[in-house]
Amino acid sequence: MKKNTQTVFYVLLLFILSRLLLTFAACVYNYMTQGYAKTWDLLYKFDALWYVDIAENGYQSVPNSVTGYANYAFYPFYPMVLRFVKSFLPDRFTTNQIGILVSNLCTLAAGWIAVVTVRTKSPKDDGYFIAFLIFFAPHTIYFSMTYTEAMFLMFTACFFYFCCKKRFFAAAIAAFFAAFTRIAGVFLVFSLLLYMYEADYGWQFNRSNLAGFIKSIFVNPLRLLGLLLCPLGIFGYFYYLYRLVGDVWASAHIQVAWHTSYHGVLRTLFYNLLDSGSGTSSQYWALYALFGILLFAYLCYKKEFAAAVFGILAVGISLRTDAIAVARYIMGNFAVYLALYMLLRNRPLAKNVAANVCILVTGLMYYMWFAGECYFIF
Amino acid sequence: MKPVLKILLYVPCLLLIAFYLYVLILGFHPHVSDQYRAYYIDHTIPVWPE
Repeated sequence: MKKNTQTVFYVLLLFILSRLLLTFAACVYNYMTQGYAKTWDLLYKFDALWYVDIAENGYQSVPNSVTGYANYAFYPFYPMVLRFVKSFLPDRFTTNQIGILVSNLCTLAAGWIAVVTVRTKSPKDDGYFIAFLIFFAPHTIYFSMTYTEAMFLMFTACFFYFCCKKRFFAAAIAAFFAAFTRIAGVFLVFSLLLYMYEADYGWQFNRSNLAGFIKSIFVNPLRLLGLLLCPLGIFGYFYYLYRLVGDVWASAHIQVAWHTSYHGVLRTLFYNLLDSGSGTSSQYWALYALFGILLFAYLCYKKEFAAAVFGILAVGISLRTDAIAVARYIMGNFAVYLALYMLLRNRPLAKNVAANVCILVTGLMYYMWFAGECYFIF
Repeated sequence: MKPVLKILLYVPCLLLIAFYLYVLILGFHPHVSDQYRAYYIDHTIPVWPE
C-alpha cells in the first residue's frame, strides 16, 4: 500500500472507531431511557440551534426583544457553508444533519492534515497519535455536531501545515478562512509573522534582524498581501454588521446579554477558581484554562513560539470576559493537539494511559451530553 | 518576480489597508438606537428593555 493511501486508511479507521464510540454512547443512552432518539437529534443542543438558525434565516437585524440575545456573536463562514451545501442536497436533509456531516468531514480532514503536519516536523514519526487525540480527546464532542470547532480546527491545521512547508501565502489563505469561522483565527496573523521571521533568521532576535525582517515584508508584496489577507473575513463581517445593526463591534457588544464580564484574564481565572459563579463548572473551566496555558508554556519550552502565541491569544480572548465554556476554546485549538502530541510522543506509558483515559472520558461525555443540560461540557 | 507584477500586488494591499481603516473608523461611530447604546455599549441599563 502506498504511504499516502495507508495514511488515509489509518486516519479513516481511527475516525470510524471514534464515531462508533459516539453511536455506542447514544445506544446506551437510548437503552437507559427506553427511548428511540436519533443520534443527530441527541447532538442538537446549545449553540447548534444558533448556527442552524443563522444558516436558515440569516442574521437578525434587532436583538431578541425578551432576552436581548442576538446571533451576531456567531461568525459567518460555517453557517454560509451549511446554507451552500443545503442548497444542492435533497430537502429531506435537515440543516442540523448537514451541519453534522460538514463538521465530521472537517474533523476527518483535520486529523489527516495533523498527521501530515507532524510528519513534516518529525519525519521519523508515523504521527497517528495526533489524529487519535483529535478524534478521541475529552471535549472533542464538539467536532461531531453543528458547531464551528471542527471547521476552525481544519483551517488552523492547514495553516500550521503550510507554515511548516514555508508556503506562507497558502498559510495566509487558511488563516483567512479560520478567522472567518471563529474570531480566534485572526490571531494566526501573529503566528504567520513568527513563522516568517523564523524562516529568515531562526530565533535570533536583535535589532538589525528585526529591521531587516520588517523591511522584507514591505519589499516583498506577496508577503505583505498574505499578512493583510488574514483578517479580511472578520473585517468583512464587521462591515456587514455595521450595515445590518449600525455597530461594527456588535459581535463583541452582544456578549453582555449572556454573561457579566470579569474584565481581564487573571480576574476571570481568580474569580472562577475561588468565587465559582457557576458552581463547580466555574472551577472546572478555570482549571481547564490553566491546563491549556501550561500546554502553551510547554510549546514555548519546545521553541514552538508561533503555535504557543496563537494558543495563548485564542484562549486569552475567551478568558477576557469569562471562563465559560473555555474547554471548547482549548480543545478546538490545533496548538493544544500539537503540544499534547509533542509531550507524549516519546513516552509510551504516558501515551497508553492518555489514550485509555481519552476513550473512557469521551464516552462518558457523549453520554452526559445526550442526557441533557450538561453545563460543564457545553 | 517581475517588477510589473510586484507593483500590481501592492494595489490589493493598499485596498485592504484602506478597507480596514474605513471599518475601524466606522467602529468609532455606531449608528444605533438609544436603548441599544445604553444596554450593549455604555452598560448604563442592567437589562435589555422589553
